Amino acid sequence: MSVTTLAVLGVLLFGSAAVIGYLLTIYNGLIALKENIKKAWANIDVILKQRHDELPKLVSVCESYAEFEKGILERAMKARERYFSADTVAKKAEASAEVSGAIKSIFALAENYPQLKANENFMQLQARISHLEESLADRREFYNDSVNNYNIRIQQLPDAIVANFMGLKLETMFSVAAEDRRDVDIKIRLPRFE
Amino acid sequence: MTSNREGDLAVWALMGAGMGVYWFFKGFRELKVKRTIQDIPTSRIATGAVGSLVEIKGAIVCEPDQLVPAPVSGFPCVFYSLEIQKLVRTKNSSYWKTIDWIYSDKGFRVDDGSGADALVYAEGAEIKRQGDPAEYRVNSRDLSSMPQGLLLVLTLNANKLRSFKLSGSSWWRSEEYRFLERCFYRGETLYILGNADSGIKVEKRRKLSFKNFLAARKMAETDPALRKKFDANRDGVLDPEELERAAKTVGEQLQPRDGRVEKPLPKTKMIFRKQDARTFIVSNMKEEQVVASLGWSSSLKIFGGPALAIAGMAYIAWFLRGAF
Repeated sequence: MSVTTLAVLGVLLFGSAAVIGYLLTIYNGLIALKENIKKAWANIDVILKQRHDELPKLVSVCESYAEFEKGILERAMKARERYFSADTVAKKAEASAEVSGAIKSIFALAENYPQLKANENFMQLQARISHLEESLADRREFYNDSVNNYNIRIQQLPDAIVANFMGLKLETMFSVAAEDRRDVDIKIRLPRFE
Repeated sequence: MTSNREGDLAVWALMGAGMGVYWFFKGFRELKVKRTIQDIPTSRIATGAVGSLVEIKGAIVCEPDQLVPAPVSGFPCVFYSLEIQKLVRTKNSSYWKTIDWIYSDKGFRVDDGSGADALVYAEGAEIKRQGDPAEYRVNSRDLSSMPQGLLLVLTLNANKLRSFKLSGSSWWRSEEYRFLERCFYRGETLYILGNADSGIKVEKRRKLSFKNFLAARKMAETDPALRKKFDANRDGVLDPEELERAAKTVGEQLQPRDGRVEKPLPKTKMIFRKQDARTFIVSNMKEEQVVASLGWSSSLKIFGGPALAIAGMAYIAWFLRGAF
């Protein structure tokens, strides 16, 4: 075998190994990205479940104040039920946003009830839920970053070729509902000065 | 008949071919790490989830009294790694071969401004630093002339060193050593990618000491409750096997917790440490710089490796042209 033949064979061997290696790297990378999204969602789900466990306690504390707006409490509980019955990420995200909106309204309205605001249980629940909301916001951002990385990868060449072969589809982000972005309408009861 | 020079070149070609194949595969590993860095979003320490491959960015926080002097440069730092290399001489050339590593064993804290911090044990991590490491060279006949800090670190870690001996080499031949120091300093911003624990399982048990083993064995022999508990065959006496098992079980409970692992503070939400063969990168470079350096390095290895391997094999084929 001549040196030239050996060199050509070497180029072909390493060339094909490089192509296979590169395709495998892309394939494994895409699988990892898909799994990252699942993991990021699971990490959100943990926080959402913790928040939904706290919600009935919050509602119960608020209900003890007879004049507290029942409509908001009912809305919060209905949204919670919708979350548990939701079977897709998009539906869960939607229900979760509704719960967030309702909680925001409850806390905003509580400003009108000094006794409720001073209630130790309420204060504890408020602190706990606020902490969970903060964690949720960060993990939602992390989830959206994961989805964004994945969506970019599966549309860019050469990953798009492998992604197409694998039948990968674009994922939806965990967006904030329009309702959640809106300011909470608070009717402040100002003391009367006579 | 081939000349000596051709024979030497053939040995080099064989080594080059092997190195080329190694680089080729290493290049793909680096490409994988590069993509992983690009694909993993940055977590906030306070609210991020722990687990495998967590990425954080933050500044090193440390009290001034917790700083340690770097062994070569003497600068106060929070962490140092010391790479010990030996000069290997061949017929026509020489190269530095890494023979040992020493790491400062204290963890350091990284704060990303989220209201919590991460405790980092960088031992075994892939440390990427901008700039060249601090360097010190010494001959094995002259080890006592080393800086005091370096001498102290080598003495304290003498039992961990596999190849380097402070006593120097044999009297008839001298060796050249090189010490490369890489440090992280207080206030420096780091990029970290690795496995993060929540801090609950950080306390490890030390290996059972002989002293505690003996104390535990005595306890098992004298305490009726323990005797009854470990008497597996119910014959009323502890056989040697039963006694050993009892001593090990009781001895482990007598063991103090591993002093090397610092107790995490309530503010510490993540603990990074090397685990198995998983990726663990600690760098003072920005994420983009780490990605760029890995990109260059992987491309060079994926393309350069095969080129070297093919050239090496081609030379060997030419060298052996008349042999078969």
